[in-house]
Amino acid sequence: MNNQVLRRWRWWHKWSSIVCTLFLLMLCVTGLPLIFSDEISNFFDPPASDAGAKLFGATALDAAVSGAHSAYPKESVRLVYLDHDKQRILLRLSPGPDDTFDHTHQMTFSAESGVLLHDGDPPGDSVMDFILRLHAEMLAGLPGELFLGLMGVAFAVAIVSGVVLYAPFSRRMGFGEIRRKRSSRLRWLDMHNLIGLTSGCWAMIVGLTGVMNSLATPLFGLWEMRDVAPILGPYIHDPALAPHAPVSVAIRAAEAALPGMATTFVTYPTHISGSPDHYVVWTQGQSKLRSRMLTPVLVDSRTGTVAFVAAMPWYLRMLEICRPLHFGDYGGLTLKWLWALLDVVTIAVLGSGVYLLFGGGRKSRVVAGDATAGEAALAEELLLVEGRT
Amino acid sequence: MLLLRSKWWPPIWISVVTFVGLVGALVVEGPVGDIAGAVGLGAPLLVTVWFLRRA
Repeated sequence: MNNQVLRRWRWWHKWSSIVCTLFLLMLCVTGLPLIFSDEISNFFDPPASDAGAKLFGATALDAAVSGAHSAYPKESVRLVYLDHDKQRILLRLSPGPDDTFDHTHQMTFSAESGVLLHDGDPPGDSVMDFILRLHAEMLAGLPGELFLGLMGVAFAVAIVSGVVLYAPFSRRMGFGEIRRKRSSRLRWLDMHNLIGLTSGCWAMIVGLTGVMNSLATPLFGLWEMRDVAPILGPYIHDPALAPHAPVSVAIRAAEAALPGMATTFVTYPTHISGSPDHYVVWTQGQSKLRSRMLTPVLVDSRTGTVAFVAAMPWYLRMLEICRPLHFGDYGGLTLKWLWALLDVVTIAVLGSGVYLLFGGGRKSRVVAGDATAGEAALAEELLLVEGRT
Repeated sequence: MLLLRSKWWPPIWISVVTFVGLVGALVVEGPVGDIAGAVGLGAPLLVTVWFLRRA
């Protein structure tokens, strides 16, 4: 690798790192509590312990919906979520069937009896929701999501360019060697290289799957526009119906149409990401991987019969497979702790990178020559490399 | 040529172990999958700690 190519890679590594570091630090810090979001949720709102009982039966489901209607007769049920982990039925209601999801509130019912357990959002939910929104969209909606996706691309460029620079910048060294007797900047550079290389694969996986997640809204929009809108065309001008068929009938019909799939949630007739005439029953597979893959079934809300099974396109399947690889929530608590440790390790890589770029001093200016003051260690290494080429 | 240098092998192996472990944990059911995930993420952490302690 000649000097010009080396300088070009160094430029890419420097500027891609500068662009994304601050945002990556925010993502790493907000990502830490999100890794343990299930445990935090269980701490504030412990799950029920009625294992063995018949759960999510027709009686319980329909009792929950009628209980919600009795409590809020002027409101519309928008979503029924079957929380298998906590053995609860969660309902979200809003004043009108076409209100945005921000205007909904939650009611929690027993999955065994359909009895009301809690009216209102569970404690701690708003804090975790805030952290999630900060992590996913910087509280800025779709523009925030896309911006963070761009930062993910810059992070991937920083990782690739960092790996490329590893070879010339540690030419005479063995793997993992840290030069304790040289300047503190070289020691930091060696630690930056070591930690970056060992955690690079994980960071790349989490970064790229994060980029994929940032595209979720446009990808779902594309699917709705290309595949769903033509099917819902005849119904689009209908007012959102108050269903005649009970939600339990819709669930039974959807699960009969897709053997081996279980319902995870149901959206009621609406014009907002749904159909004004249909329940949309979202089903998932039973295995660890297939449970991440959702298949929506449209069920006529008047008759309770299946109208359409919407096959998900390849790009949404890709997104669904990418999600667990970003969240780290598929291998038990051990995987979560290791995920959190690697998150901290990534913070160390980012911190050491900031030190190497901006932690310059008098000596660095002398050594670096034409380089900027803060690039002392890199410049020192570069001079060593150039001296040999 | 670059890949034949010995210092490239440890990061390549760590990356392969990490990737296979993470995907294995997602695809394989039960404790075997969980162990695959733990090995996949444990390997880079152990290597990092070992070299940092040696320094």
